[in-house]
Amino acid sequence: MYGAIFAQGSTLRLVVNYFITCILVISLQIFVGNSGIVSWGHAAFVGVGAYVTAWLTVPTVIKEDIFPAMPAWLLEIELGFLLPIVIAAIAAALAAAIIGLVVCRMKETAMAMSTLALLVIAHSIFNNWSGMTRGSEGVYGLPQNTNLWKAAAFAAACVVLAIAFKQSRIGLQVRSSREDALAAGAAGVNVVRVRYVAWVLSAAVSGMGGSIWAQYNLGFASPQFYYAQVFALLAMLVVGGMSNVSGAVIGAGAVTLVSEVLRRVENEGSLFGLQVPRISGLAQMVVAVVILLILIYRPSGILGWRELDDWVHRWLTRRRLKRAAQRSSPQLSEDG
Amino acid sequence: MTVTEIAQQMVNVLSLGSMYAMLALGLALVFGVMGLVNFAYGELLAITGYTMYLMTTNGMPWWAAVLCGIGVAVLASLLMERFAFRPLRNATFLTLLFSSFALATVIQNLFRAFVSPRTKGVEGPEILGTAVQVGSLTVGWMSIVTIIAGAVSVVALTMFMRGSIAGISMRAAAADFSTARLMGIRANRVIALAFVISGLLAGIAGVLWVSRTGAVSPAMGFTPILKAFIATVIGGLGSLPGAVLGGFVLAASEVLFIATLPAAAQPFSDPLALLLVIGILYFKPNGLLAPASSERA
Repeated sequence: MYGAIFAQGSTLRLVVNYFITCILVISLQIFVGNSGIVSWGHAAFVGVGAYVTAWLTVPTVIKEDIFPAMPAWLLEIELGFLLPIVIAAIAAALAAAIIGLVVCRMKETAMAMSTLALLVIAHSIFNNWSGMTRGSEGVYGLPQNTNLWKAAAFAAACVVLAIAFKQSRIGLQVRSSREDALAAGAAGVNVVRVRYVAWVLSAAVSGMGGSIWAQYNLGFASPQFYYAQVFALLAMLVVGGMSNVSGAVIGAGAVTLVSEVLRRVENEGSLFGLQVPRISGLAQMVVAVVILLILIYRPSGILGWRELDDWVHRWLTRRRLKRAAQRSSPQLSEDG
Repeated sequence: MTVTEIAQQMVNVLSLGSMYAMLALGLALVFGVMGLVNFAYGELLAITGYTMYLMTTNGMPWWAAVLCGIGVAVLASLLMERFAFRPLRNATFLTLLFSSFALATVIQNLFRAFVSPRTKGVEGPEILGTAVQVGSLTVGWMSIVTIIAGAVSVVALTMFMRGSIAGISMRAAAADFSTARLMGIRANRVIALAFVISGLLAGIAGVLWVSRTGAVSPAMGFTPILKAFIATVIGGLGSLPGAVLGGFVLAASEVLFIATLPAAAQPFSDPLALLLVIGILYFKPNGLLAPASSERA
C-alpha cells in the first residue's frame, strides 16, 4: 500500500506518505467519486508519473547505468522538484486523453472492465520495457526532493482543485450522470464529454502524485503499480465515502493509520509492547474485511454524501437549536 | 510450418482452450444469474491448490487430495455466496465487482498468514509429466487429461442446463431474473446452485492448473481469473456457449502469438489479447455471441 509501505518507525515518513497518499486518493475521487465508475487504470497513470520523473531526475551517471535504451538527449537532463511534476502530470494526462477517446465512450460496466484491462496492459509494459523501466528490478537514484511542507502544500492544493472541480459546471454534470446517465443525457448533458474531462483531469493529478511519490521514496519497481496498490487506493476512497473530497482525505487517513498499526504488528510481532503472533498479510486482510463490511452495511462510506464542513455545520446548528430549546424549555416542561 | 507442427499447435490450442473454457464457464454462470463478475473466482483455484498442497504434504494420496480439493472449492464457493454476496444481492454492478475484489484480497492474505507467503511445490503423479507418441505427434498426458476434463465438463453442463429442471430454471433466471421468480423459481436456490457449479468447475480447473504449474502461491488466482475474464468478455458475459467460444479464441490467439511473435515481443502477448478485449467491449459490448435482447453487459 502506498501510504504505509515504507514507514518503518518514522512518524515523519508516515505523515509525508499520508499527504502523498491523499493526493493519489483525491485523484481517484475526481473521476471515480464524481462519475461513479470504478477505474483500476489509475495505477497506470501513477506509474507514468513515477517513470517520467525517474527519467528526468536521476543523475546522468546512474542513468547511463540503469537505462541502456535511453536516448542521449534524455540522459543529459537532470531536473529539480517542480518541473518533473508538471511534465509527469502532462504525460499522464496525455496518456489518459488518448485512452479516454476509446474508453469514455463505453457503457459504465464496459468502461470499468476496460480499465482493468488497461491496468494489466500498463503493468506488462512497465514490467517488460526493461531498457527504460528496469521492470521488476526497479529504478533507483532519484533525489529526495519532496519534504513534509511540499507534500502538504500539494495535498492541500489537490483538495482545493478537487472541490472546485466538483462544484464546477462540468463537475455537476458528471455527478448528474452518476445518478442517472440517461436522464442527464436527456437534460442536455454531454455525458461522454464530461466524463472525458473528469478522466483526463484525474489522470493528471495521478501523474502528479506519482511524481511526488517517486521523489520521496528514492526508488521503485514495476510491481508497485498493480492491482494491489490500486485496490488499496480505492479502498481508502470507499472507506471515507467516495462522493466527496473530505471522504478521500479521511479515508486515506483511517486506512493509513490502521495499516500502519497492523504493519507494526506484522513486522515486529508486538502491539503497544504486548507480544502477539506474527501474521503476514494481516494489514491487507483486515483492510479488505473492513471494505467488505462497509460495502454491506454503509455503502456510501464513513462520511456518506456530505462533505466534512457540512457535517460540522449541521452539528453546530443542532447544538445552537438545542441551546435555544434549553433556554425556553423550563416553561415548556412546566406547561407539559 | 510443417503439418506435424500445425497439428502439434492444434493440440496445444485444444488443451489450453479446454482449460480456459472451464474457467470462463464458471465465471459466466454466476454472472448470468446475479450480474456479478466474481473476481474471487480465481481464489477458488487457489483454495483447491492449497488443499492439495496441505494434504499431499501430510502424506495423503494424490487422488484423495484431488477429491478434497474440488470439494473444498465447492464449499468455499457456497460460503462466498452466503456471506459476501447474498447481503449485496441488489447492489450495483460496480459494488459487486469491488466487493469480489475485496474478498479475493482477504483469501489471498489468509494463505499468506496461515500457510506461507512463499511459493510451495505440489507434487502430482509422475505420469502427468510424461508424453505419448501418436504417429509423429508428441502429446503430453497433461494435455490429454485437460482436453478430456474440458470436454466432459462442457457436455455434462450442457445436458444439465438443457435436461434438468434445475438447469432450465438457471437458464430462465439468467434470461430474466424477476420473471423467473414470478414463475416460482427460488432466487436463493438458483443462485446457490450457480455458485456450486461454478465452484465445481473452479475445483476441476484448479487441479489441472496446479498439476500443470506444480506449485501454489498466494497470488496464484490472478492469472486464471484474468484468462477467464478475457474469455467471457470475448464470448459475451453471461453467455455459456460464448464462454466456451471465448476460451478457445483466447487459447488460439495465445498459441498464435507465441508461434509468430519474435522472442522480444513474447511478454506482450497478454497485453495484445487485452487490447482485443477493449476492442470487443467497444464495438460489441455484449460480446460476440450475446443474444440480441441482452441488456446486462
